[in-house]
Amino acid sequence: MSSTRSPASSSTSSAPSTSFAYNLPPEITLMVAKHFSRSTLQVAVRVCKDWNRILSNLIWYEVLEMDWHHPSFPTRVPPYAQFQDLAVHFVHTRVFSWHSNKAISQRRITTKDFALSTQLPPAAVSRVLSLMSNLTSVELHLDSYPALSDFDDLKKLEKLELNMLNCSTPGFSVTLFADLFSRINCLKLVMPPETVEVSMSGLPETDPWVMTVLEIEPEAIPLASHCKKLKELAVGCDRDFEQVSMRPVMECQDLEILRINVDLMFFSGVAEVLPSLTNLKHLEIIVNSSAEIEFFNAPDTPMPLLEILEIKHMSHQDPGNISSFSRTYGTILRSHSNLRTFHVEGAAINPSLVFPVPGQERVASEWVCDQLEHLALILSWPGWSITSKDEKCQCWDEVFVQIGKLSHLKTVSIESEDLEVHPGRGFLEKCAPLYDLKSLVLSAPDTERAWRVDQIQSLLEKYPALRSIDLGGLVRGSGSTIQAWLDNECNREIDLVSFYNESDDEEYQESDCDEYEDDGYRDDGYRDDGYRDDDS
Amino acid sequence: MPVTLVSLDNENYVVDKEVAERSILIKNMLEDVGETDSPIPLPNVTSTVLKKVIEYCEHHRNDPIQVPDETDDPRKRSNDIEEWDMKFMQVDQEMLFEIILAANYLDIKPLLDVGCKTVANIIKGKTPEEIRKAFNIVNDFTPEEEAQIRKENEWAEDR
Repeated sequence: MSSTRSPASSSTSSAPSTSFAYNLPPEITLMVAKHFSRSTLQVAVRVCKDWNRILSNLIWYEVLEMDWHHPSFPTRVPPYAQFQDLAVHFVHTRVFSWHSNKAISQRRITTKDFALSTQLPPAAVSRVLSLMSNLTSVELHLDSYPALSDFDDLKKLEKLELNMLNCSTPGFSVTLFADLFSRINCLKLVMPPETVEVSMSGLPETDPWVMTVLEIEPEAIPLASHCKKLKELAVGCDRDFEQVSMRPVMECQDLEILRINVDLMFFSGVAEVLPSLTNLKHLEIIVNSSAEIEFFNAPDTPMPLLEILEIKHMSHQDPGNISSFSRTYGTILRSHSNLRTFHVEGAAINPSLVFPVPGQERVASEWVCDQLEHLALILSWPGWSITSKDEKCQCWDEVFVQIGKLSHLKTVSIESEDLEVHPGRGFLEKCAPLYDLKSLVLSAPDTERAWRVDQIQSLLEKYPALRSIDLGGLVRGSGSTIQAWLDNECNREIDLVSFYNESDDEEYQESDCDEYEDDGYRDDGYRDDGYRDDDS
Repeated sequence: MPVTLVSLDNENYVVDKEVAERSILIKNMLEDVGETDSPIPLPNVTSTVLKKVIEYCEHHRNDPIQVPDETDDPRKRSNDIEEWDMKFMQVDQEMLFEIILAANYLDIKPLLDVGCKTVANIIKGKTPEEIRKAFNIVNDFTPEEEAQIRKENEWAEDR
């Protein structure tokens, strides 16, 4: 790169600078640009020639699945020999994602604005990969199997996502790809539908893989035994499958994050494996019956102290199940002193069994999880037999008192039909001031009870860090009044989220998109609250 | 043990060693010379900027040392700035750039990051003309050139 016109030379202060007015050296302009979104980058390269020269290559940093089909993409029709012309750009590409036309049409994203252009033949995909020699991340959703040799030139490859859902003929072999898999850091694998069994035969036992992140379907769990350095494992699947043993995961003693996105009941050995993972900090599971998480109560084989726990419930529960779930949650909150995120969703629980209610012997000790930063209780069904409003109020009051003791809380989300008995005042009155609380969700569907402006005012005074409030059904009717007050009279910038807001649809799509881009690389594993209405 | 830092305009600032060592440049210097009472000259930093930088280092004196993160994956980028840092960065543009240059020179990665994020946030959502105006940049493109660049890169716009 020519440096003759570099704005770095601060001695030439008399000449009008075409870069930043304060002569930032190009490397700093570049550092700033690393924080740009793609659209900001688009704008930035048009600012001046200097910026264009410094920043243009960043445009090629990512080539994503839809880019190929954009009318302005340099080469999207045969002959693919033209790829040679793009080699100069392709060396700057670090992230490449390629979806076959079939895979794109199956995706939820809209393709109506695009006429899908001719699909690259497999040989052309190989050619692209060989020209993008600096790739660190590759995502391929293919109709036909890739060849191992396609990846030969990718010496810097760290992350590979291989989705072969659309490959119709059986024939993929993990063993064949072992050389590639053994040297990358992160692997996501969706096997062809025919290949339900992952054979480990032929994998040399003495040569463990170095990868730290693995995302697979249940049948591929045996792969875990080959990844002794694994820190993060995600297991998910959209189809039916036979029961699978969790035992290979025992080999992953460094495992810190485990996400199981299918019901725990489809796995054997869970109660044995989970407590043995001594470094586990982050656990996400889906459960159907309380027996599946009984291991949290086992005194002999205690679970490692978790920092993040997310539990989703699959189905409506009978009352007996509700009590045992509630007791287990009580145990968790009283034993996992490192807990920062506790997220229960779709559950029916009895708060008086989860939260220590004074005067009730059955719950004697206090919560120990005073480091808790994120609390979410998304309760889909009324979980208990108490029907009188007074009793319900009293019970939630105790819950709010307990929440007020967790002084590190940053987000609180409570959704329950029972909340409607409280026109919001319960939380306001009983929960002590929380100085870090940034986001509050108190939501009850189908209620006519609304918050008043003066209550919102008190809420903001009591929780000085609040930035986002979602009062769900509790704000219906008064929502516009409150919004007007926030806009005109409140001197803080508050995001008022409402279930009935028309903009909800947009937000949903945005978060949907984020979820996709996110690729499972969440820093702290905590999700924003925008996901709760996924099914609605 | 306290350390004396000397700015370009010869102002002396006495700070705790742990505060001064937020700057990797100073940390390495101190390691090279060992125990010393002699002041450390910082000929690239004026006193107004140095004062500001010391304020930052004082506030962040107990932060864990940032692990050098070589991944420049833009998907991981976050423009979130801590509240204190955000307030700290509410300075005029000249000062903002001076802080960035000083952070770069003194090798204080977290401060450099916050500075770059602040500039990125100023640029975000603006048109090319607004950016030029904001930073006093001369447009050396013809309208045709600008349109051409836009057309060429359209495929990489956010969708």
